[in-house]
Amino acid sequence: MNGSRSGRIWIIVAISVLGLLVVSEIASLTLIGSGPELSVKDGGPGGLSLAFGEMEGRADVEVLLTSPSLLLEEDDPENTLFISIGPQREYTLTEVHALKKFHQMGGRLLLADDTGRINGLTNYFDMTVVRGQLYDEIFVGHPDIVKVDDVELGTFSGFLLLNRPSSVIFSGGLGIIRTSPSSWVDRNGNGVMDNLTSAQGEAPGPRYVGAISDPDFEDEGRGAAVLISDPSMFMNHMIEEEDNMEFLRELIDHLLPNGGKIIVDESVHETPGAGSWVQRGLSGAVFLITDVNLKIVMGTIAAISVFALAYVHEAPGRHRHIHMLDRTGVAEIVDPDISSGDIPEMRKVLLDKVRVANGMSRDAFSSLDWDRIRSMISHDTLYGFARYGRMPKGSDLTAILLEVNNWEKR
Amino acid sequence: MSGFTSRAVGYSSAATVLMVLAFVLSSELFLIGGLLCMALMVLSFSFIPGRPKVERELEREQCFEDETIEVLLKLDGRKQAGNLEVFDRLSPGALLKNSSNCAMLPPGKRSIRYVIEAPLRGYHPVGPTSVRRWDPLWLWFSQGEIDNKSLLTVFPSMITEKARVMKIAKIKQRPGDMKLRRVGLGKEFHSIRDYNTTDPFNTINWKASARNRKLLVNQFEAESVTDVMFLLDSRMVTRVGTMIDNPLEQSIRFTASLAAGLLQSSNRVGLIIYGSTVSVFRPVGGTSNLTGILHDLTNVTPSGYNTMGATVEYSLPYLDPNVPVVLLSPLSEDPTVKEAIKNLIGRGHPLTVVSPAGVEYERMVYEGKITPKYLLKRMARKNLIDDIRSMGAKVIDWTPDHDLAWAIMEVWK
Repeated sequence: MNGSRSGRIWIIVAISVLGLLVVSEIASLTLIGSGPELSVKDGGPGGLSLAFGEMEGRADVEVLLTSPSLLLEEDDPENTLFISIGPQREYTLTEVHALKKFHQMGGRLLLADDTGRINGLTNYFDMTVVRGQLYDEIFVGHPDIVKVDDVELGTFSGFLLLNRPSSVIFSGGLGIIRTSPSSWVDRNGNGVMDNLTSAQGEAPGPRYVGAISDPDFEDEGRGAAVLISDPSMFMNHMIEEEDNMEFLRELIDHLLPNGGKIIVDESVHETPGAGSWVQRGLSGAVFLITDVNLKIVMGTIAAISVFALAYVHEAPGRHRHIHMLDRTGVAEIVDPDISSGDIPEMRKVLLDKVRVANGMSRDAFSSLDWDRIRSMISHDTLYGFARYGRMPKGSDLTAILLEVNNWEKR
Repeated sequence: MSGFTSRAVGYSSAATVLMVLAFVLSSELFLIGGLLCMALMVLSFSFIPGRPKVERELEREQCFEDETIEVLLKLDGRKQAGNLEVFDRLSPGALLKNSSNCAMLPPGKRSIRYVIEAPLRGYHPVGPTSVRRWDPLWLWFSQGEIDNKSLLTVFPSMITEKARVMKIAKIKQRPGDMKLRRVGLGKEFHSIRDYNTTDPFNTINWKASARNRKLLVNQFEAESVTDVMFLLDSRMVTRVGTMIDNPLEQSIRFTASLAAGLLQSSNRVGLIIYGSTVSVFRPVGGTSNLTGILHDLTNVTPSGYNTMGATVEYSLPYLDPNVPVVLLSPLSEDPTVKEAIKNLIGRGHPLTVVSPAGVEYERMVYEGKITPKYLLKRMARKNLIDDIRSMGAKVIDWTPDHDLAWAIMEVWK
């Protein structure tokens, strides 16, 4: 095995962290979690089913469930209208990039939002949704329901009824819906017209609720984006009020003068019922293969996985019979050399050799005095060694050992 | 156990890189390439062959050292794609003589034949068979073992021919069959006597009884069989040298050879083995008991530090008076040797010490070099042997230069 245990653990940790990053990123994008409000599939008062029906009557309509990133694959953007009404999440960088590309290729966009979530996209068209509810002295029944008659869009003339709208600021484009001079924006959300002096104040004056980025898009053959700061006006319970439906028709006709295809972005809404899980799964898959951040993370995971695979890979060894018949063992000659620790044994060997050479038993030999033994050994050096373990100066144990080995009875 | 090869790592790396490139560059070409790589891997994985049945046939299950055994391995599986790598595990004490115990085969009915040599006595396992099943592209494998273990019993080598023709020089002092001129239950006729009630009928000499008009029975010469006890040293220190050539193995071969010869001559042979324990096998006679003795010897493993003195003390109750004892020991690393020998001789046991020189086997480990320690140990050993000889024991100093036949001949001198 090539890899150490700690190395493997670090690889597993790295892959797990990156995997969690991917999962959490996908979850945060797909788990919208605020219900099917403003969904074209919702037939309730808050849904857009009536507006959707109107769209279907005027063009081919396609519902986009996954992500606007797929707009890059669009064949005929000049005759395609992308509609996003009341998005319940912000668009990712990849989606913004795809929508910008779609616009550059001549695509048309109808965007409606009163929360500012869509500003990440509309800033590209120099348009911004201003946070804060717009109030006007011209309202119907309740100050939240604002009535507007200043609409500059094609041949449209009539009244629009808005439901708690925001306002739009823009540069370079053209306002298409304007409120009366008595309207004001409650920026601090306290419901009272105050803070009149500051630059971001709530002073009354005409505000725009709708704008188009490029009014001459038709002549120039460019793309166009319409931003409306009140998605509620297209809701089922509002669309049939005053001329809201007529306004929607006019918008579609204006943006798609030659007809074509409408793509309704439902990826920003939660699909009602069990289908929401299918939608989340599909969205997750599309994010995985289109989102730039996720691509980087996935690429890193893939690279780490490949390296990890190579790191932990254990090539299957070839089978081979291994015998142990060559093994050797030693007991008495573990260390081939002698040392001072061997002196007692050397003395014993010498005395035994003398004893055996003289044919004596151990007891008989033990009873002899050293003078007798000295005469038996007849070798002063060996006698000194046998009696005292003494060695002559300059000689080593090996030399004494050789003397003992060569000793013979005279 | 399953696994993958470097080739699989290459395939998966290529597939991963191509898939990442396909997503990053939105390229269908890379996507097709990546999917193709993945498809090949998955496809090949699905063709891993099934587990085959494996049976083994040994030419015979018992043999003597240095003999060869042919092994036949039969595989039976479905014929399909993929490959099989078969490896028949062998005991580390066995050698491959011919062919190989590892083979690459296509699935189906196949067989492998190989020959092993058993240079070391013991119970050697053959198997289990390890089967590695490979996919056709050699990317994946699944490995498993098939429980088909066989046991090869390798007895120590013997020189029975020489033992059979040996002559016993001094009958009373050496083991072997000897006839005594007295009445017993032998086969040679000795005399006729009157019948008494305890005599078996088949001993009645009917012709002599008719002539003398009274019942007479035949008497036969007694055949005295000698009990010989082998005292085998199997301590750890007897394992010096190589696995095949060391004091213990030489002692075991010697014991087996001499025991076979003695049994053939109607003697009885007993065995005392000491090492980590002391095992006493009472004397038995008849050639049919040779196999039992061989099994006892085959089972010996070098271990333990029991001394000869303690062993003799323990074994004396099992030794009949005056029974000849053959002691097999390198006589090393045991301070009780002289005491034990004195004890045996004192009890009247004729003692023959066969001592494979452990220190000489150790010298062979050092490529035959004469080192100072060797010199010292050799002198100590010589003194010890001289002492033992002076006690009245016959000592055979068996160096590696001499073979088994020499050692046995020395016993009978």
